[in-house]
Order: sequence, then structure tokens, then C-alpha cells
Amino acid sequence: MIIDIARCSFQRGYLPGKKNTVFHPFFATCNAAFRREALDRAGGFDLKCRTGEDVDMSIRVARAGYALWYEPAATVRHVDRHTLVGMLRQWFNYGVGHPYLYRKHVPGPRLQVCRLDTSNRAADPIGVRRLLDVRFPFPGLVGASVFHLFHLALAAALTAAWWGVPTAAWLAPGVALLSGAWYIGLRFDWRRPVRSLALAGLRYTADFAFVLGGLLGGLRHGVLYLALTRTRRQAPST
Amino acid sequence: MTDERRLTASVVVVTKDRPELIGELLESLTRQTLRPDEVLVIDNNSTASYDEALAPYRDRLPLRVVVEATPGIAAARNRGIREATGEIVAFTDDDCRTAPEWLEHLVKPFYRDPHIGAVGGHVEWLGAADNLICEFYRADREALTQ
Repeated sequence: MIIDIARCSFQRGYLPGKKNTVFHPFFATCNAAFRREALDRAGGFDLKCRTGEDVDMSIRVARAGYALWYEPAATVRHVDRHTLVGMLRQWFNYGVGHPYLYRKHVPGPRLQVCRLDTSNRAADPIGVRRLLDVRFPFPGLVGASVFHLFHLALAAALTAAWWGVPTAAWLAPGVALLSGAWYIGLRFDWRRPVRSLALAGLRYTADFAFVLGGLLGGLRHGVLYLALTRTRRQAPST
Repeated sequence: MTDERRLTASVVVVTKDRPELIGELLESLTRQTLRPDEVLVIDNNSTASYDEALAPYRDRLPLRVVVEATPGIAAARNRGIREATGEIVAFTDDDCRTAPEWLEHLVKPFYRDPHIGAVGGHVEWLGAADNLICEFYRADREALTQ
């Protein structure tokens, strides 16, 4: 399951159903209500969930045959009290929790490669596209994003330099440089360059913690899990 | 509510060692246009005391406090589900404040359609303007809701 990454943009009404096996729309438990009968049928919250117990519950309520309704008029205000360590821990824990959910809810050993595509929000509110979905010896989810391209190119550049492969030795660093610039560019606002760079740095550390957590959580649950990081434009708010 | 058949609603709040936060949440719950039939505070085995923080609300809310010794949010929420008597079980957190019409809007859809099993609401995030981490989260959410 790809959690947290694509939510929040629903319109008032029924949440989209299970057209997408990778992402399931859900409600965060800081603002959600359940019909008693639906909770009884779905069972309680899963104690094995490190994070995403709310995602798991939403999936089970939906699979028990109930509809999920998003009501934006029911508002709560959440007071953020963030620290850097808290932020890193949160993203790491998101990463660690996802492979368990993925294993639990995506049937069969399949390799799925996904990318975010939110170009058409109206027709596709979830915006997670599957580029590849094939049978595989063990379950795997690989997110295709700039973050991964950057690290792949970086690894290729180092390997090429080590083995002395001339073509790859200039090509790979070029790709790494371009993808790195793209990653920062997604978050860059010329009016606030320093703030933009600082935010891109935070994004990078959060993504790093998230992907690392996903890999480690995946090892524990026998899933190849390369978490899908955000690729949408994220400029500092003015 | 104009419906003849009224659904009863329990509000479940899980908290651990943050008695300083719970007052504002409970205050916001006293101002609901739809009064909750029950407010269940699940204390996830805190070492801090909640007595003082909860005292002002014992008369103003149908408040019940339960201690759940098993650590973890899932275990605490399950205890809330077991203890809640309402036909609708609504969850919020100790670091949240509910808008006055929160519960009313959250419960209404259940009347409209018996197939609705869960209703989720909107979360407004408030953070310090000068805090870079808060700004990071804000920009992150804005990117998702564009």
C-alpha cells in the first residue's frame, strides 16, 4: 500500500473504490467515525501495524462491503508540534509500516512498479499509475521517482568509476546531476532561494528515512519495498 | 437532527502523557452542536496524571476515562471500540480541536445511506509560521491537495 502519499484531495462524497490495488483511499483516525456494525464486521485495529492502522481499517471496512464517505465540513484542527528528529522518526516509521500493509492487502507475489501521476485529478483522484505488474518469486513494490533515479545514477557512476568504464563514467554522473537538479527544481521558488533549498534538504532527509524504513520493513516481511517518494511540485508557501 | 431514529455517538480519544493538551480538545467538545452521548478518554498507561486536566469537564461532558495497559495506539483504540456504547464511534486525537459542527457533520452521512460504514472529515493543520519543519509539512500537504 502506498499510504499518505496521494490522499487528501478527495471531493465531498463517496471515496473511490478499489480500482487500484496499490493505493487504497483511507481516513486518518484523528478525524473519522465508524458505524459500530462495520467495526464489528471488520474487526478491531490490527496490533501488528507499526503505522497505517487507519489505512488497514479503512480497507477492511470497505472490503466488508461498506462505503466510505468523505465529509470536509466535519473539521478538526491539528496543532503541529514538529521537531527534526520527530519528523525523521515519523517518515522512517511510515516506511517501516508500509511493507506489512502491502503484504497483507496485495494478493499474491507480484512485482509492481508504480509512479505518481496526478496530472488529471478529476478523473483519477488517486494518481498512482502502475507501469509494470507481473508475477514474481516474491512480492515487490518499486516506486519510480526522481529520488530513485538520482541514487541509481549515483550508484552507476561510482561503479563505472571503479571498473573504469569510460562511457558510463561520464553518462551516469550526468544523469545523477540532472536528476538531482530536477529533484531540487520541483521544490524551487526563485523568490525564496534559501528557504527553497532548506525545504528541498528536508524533503531529501524525509525521503531518505522513508525509503530506508521501507527497505528494512520489507526485509522483515519478505517484500522488496522501494517506497514511492513524492514527485509533485512542492514550493515553499508564501 | 430531524430524523426520528437517532443514532447514538461515542467520541473516543486516545492519549498518553499529554494532559496539558487534552483540555483544549475537551473544551471544543463541549461546544458541539450535536452533543456526544459519551466521551471516552483512553489513557494508554500514562505516567502523568490526568485528574487535574479532566476535572473541569466531568460535569460538562458525559466523560468516561479508561486506562489501557497494553502500549500502542491500535490496542488503545480497540479498547475504545470495546468500551464505547454508541452506534457511531468517532475518533479524534488529543492534539486536535474540533469545530463546533464537527460531530454533527460526521454523523449525518450515516443517516443518509445505511451502506456507509465510515465517514472521514477534513483536517486543518496549524503550525508555527517560522518553524521550517511545519512549513515543510504544510508545503507537502499543499502539493497533495492542489
